[in-house]
Amino acid sequence: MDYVFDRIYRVVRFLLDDIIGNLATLAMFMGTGLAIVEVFRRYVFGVVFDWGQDAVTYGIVSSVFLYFAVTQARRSHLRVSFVVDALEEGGKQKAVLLIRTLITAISLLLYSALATWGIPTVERSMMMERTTLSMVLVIWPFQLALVVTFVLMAIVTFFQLYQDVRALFGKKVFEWAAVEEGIDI
Amino acid sequence: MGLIGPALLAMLALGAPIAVALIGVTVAFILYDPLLSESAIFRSFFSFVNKYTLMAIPFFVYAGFLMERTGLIKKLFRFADALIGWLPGGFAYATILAAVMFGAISGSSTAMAAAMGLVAYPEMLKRGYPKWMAAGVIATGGGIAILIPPSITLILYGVLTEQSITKLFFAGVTPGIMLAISDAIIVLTMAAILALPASKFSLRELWSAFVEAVPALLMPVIVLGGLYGGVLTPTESGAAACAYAMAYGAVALRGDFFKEAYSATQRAVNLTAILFFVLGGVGIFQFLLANQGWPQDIAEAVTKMGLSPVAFLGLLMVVLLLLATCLTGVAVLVLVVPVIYPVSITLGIDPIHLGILFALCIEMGAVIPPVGLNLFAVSGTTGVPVTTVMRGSFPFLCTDGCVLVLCLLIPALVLWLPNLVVQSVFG
Repeated sequence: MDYVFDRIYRVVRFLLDDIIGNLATLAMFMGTGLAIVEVFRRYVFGVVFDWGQDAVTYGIVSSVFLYFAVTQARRSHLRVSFVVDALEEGGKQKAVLLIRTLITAISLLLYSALATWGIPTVERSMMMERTTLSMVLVIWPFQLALVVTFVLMAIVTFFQLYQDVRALFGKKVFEWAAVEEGIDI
Repeated sequence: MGLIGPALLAMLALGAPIAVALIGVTVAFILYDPLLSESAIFRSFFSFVNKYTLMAIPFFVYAGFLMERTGLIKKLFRFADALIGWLPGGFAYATILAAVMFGAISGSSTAMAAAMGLVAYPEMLKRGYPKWMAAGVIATGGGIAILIPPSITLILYGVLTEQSITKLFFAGVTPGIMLAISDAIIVLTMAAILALPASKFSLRELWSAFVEAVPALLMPVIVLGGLYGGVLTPTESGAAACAYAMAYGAVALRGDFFKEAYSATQRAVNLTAILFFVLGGVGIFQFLLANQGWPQDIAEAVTKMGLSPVAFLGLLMVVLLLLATCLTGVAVLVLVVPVIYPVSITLGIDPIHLGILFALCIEMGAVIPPVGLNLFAVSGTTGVPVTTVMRGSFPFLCTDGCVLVLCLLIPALVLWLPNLVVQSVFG
């Protein structure tokens, strides 16, 4: 079982770290490029694309949405850790593992719920052909990006929960996937 | 319903990601009330982060990372050293000056402290500075970046409260300069007590360092000039900063630029993702606040207590500093602002003044244990124990406290510049 989960999780992490991570980076680069072009066009030629501001905003935000799953996989979302740190320093390893498992389980539930609740919003936007502020771009692909993000976050959190539960029973799995990576500053 | 507050605190204390804690309690509230729709949660998250103004954050972060990869800090540092390194304890001044200049580019205090730890610390030791002082200067110098435009903290506050970010940037200038001056006074005193060395002044060295640093010094001119002149919005200013950083990087690094640019882009996406996930959580949490009416309850309680605005602010600053000892700056901002901002408006407190007080508390919080991100950033990059960094930061923390009290009691210190410049530029 552990072996099968390990293989699947490696595929998931490859998808996140190498494919989605790079796609999000590329989208950020392109979004920034478009923003620069728009600033240049506006102040030099006095013209802008009607959809320029929306494309920059929604393009960059969607790339950042997708990257949420990468930061979740690296467990680097912003958190308040002083209580857990104090417990860890006090040698209360079992309590730390229990708390971590509980939080991961809650996270899994929430990400799954958000993905589920997002689907009707996307469907309604598609049906009503809702647009962004510029009235040019349809909004549903960006909402879909957020739904996909929550699905990916739920998948990765499922594996993290498996890792935490196994740790509770004294078994180490996915040793290549760090449990605490912290924030890259 | 009275369980929501304690549940939120419990989740935060147990180390849940801040966004998960905020979303979790809101979901519990919505599921409890059959009249509320679950899809509102998703929509709140989505719409709260899709704002053009917020794009200033990834742009400035990106520009800062790009400039860092081009060796900019070393050039700024060399210039600052040539300019004021000849004074007693001059190298410490130079470190603070370089921190302020780099802060004006990256807007990130912790990134600045980590970067300066690598560049300034070994040089300070070489010049005979004690370890505790060197680490303390670096950890505290970075804090000024929170107040010097383009500050990520001030952009976040502006987005959360829908206040003019340009006005907030102007408001941060005077307290930022006050912090720099108070830090300089501390260095001067330490230099006298510890008989710290000073290097010789050389006009040739100053000129050569200046010429080398000119491309770097132009960056704040472009960023701040566009804002101050009322030509660019903060987001456009961020995009212009990125354009300049890319052009500068392409010239300075030539063939290596794309490799460095990729790494800088990835770091920018990573940091933005961490911030925006929390912001999405705040978007959802505001839905809960609007339904619970906590800000109104607090405002009512404050009015009943008969607290004056200054007394309320004083109390708030104590709470913020206490929170800042165990929460990061972003966490303090996103958790407290949505609750306290409406209360402050009810009491007639100027929102720009409030924003700067928040930033000052967060700036101090960055060097207050046990969390104090700057302490750990400097400790991590220099290898000095956190307790030693704390010792070195303490005198600066005291003067920062004086600046906070002054700004609290005399709002004009904060408001004169934005009222003067922004009104005259934007009518």
